Amino acid sequence: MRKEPLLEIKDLHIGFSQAAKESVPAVRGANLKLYEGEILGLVGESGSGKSVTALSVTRLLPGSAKVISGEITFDGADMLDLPEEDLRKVRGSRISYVFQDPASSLNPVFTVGEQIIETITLHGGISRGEAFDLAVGSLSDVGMPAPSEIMFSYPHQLSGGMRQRAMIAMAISCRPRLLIADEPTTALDVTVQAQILDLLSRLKERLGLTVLLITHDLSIVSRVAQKTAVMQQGRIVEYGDTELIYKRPSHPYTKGLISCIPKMRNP
Amino acid sequence: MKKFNKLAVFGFVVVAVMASAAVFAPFITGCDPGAIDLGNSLMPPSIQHIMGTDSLGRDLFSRMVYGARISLSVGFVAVGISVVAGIILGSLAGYYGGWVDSVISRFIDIMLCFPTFFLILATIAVLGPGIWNIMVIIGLTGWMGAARLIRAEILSLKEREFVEAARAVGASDLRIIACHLIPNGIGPVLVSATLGVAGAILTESALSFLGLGVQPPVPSWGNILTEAKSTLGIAWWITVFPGLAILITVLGYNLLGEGLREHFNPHRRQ
Repeated sequence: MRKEPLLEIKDLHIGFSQAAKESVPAVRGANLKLYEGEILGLVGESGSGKSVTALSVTRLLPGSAKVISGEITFDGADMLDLPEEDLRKVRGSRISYVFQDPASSLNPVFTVGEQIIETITLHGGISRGEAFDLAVGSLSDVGMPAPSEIMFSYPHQLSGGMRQRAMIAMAISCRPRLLIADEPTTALDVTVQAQILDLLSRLKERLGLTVLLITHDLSIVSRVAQKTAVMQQGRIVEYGDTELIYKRPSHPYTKGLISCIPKMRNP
Repeated sequence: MKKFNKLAVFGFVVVAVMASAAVFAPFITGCDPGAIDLGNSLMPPSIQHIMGTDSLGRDLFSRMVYGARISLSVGFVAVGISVVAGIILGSLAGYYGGWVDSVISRFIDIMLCFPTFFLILATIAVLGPGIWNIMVIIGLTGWMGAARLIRAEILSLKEREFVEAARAVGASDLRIIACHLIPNGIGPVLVSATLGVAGAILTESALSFLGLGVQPPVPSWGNILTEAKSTLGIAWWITVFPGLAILITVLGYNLLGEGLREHFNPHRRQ
């Protein structure tokens, strides 16, 4: 493990402004370090600011939200200072996202293949033919059966789990360094959830991917993440090795979250 | 081979037949559409003149075929202009919102407030009648419907997650509008455009009726109809054939539009 973190968020403040009203703080001084080759689970309840934090990494915040202060460093570059043009080159090629609902994250009028190819050709002068092969390759990376047929399928012809695999295939098609998965399993049923989580761990091993996994479900984090950060009301209240946090939670909120996990078997 | 909607195929065939009649007019009819033969005026349909002759003894069939050139190109070009203008302005308004939307929407409202036909009349009175002037003016006064439709579509589409996903893979605003939003929202616009073709053909007819459209002796379906009104009581064929031609063409465009709309809806594709 390197000493320098791949992604570092320092004292980040984000506020939502509503017309002519004072801005409502969503993130209040978040600090986060993500090292290469790790899966970091960012846990918190709805509205705790996890998604907003994740979106702010490549400045994808919606129009009403603004970074008020703080620093976001990715691979030595200050993301909050980068011109929009350079930022677009980072998005999708070096940092990519997987969103919660795979049903609506894919464009319904294009085939899965067209959408993966678009992502690949947007970054770096690659011909469509090569992009097609790469796209088939990343579909098989995510364990999609018959990838060359899936290329010609429309999103509505796939099941939820397959759509999410397709989204992940699109996200890893440019071999990013950082994958930000925002509640990637929330819209899926439990067995498919497990498959997708296994897939993320495997991809991490095989491609040396660094993953920021956002979820409200602590059991998911305990399953795949090496590090855990717990977020509450816009602050990171606990950060450290998943195992340690699980055994000796120091913050009362974390204790509360852990006690919420139904005990079917011992963790 | 994909399966197409039968009615859409019918529509396509109608439009294709009309278009090829217009393109190959000189090969289809041997007669000169302007040849006057007063001895044979107001002849009912017969073997020599399959659609009969008009009050000046001109062969109605060849006038119809040559008239298709004018009528179809007016419909097509005018609607083309209005759809392109409408899509550009409507998608900018829908996507950017805020003051861009306010400016464009108010502009749409202003344009809708004008009695379009009189605006067209006034503009032609200034610029002079001519087929290109007519096409451009009908096009530039008819884009508001398309703009409103695409704006409404994009307003709802831009909140969908795939737009966020497209931005997250590094697509620019322009790319998101052109490659992700417009293909999703173009269905209703195309359908209304096919209705617009009909409207444009009728507007041209009305202009010809008032003497500001295509100038006689050049035939268009509109001015053939206009000339027919004086002989309506004694020569039915001069009104019926151009009327039918307009009806069938409009129907063909509508069916084609319906088919296109289905083509753009992947849920009905297999």
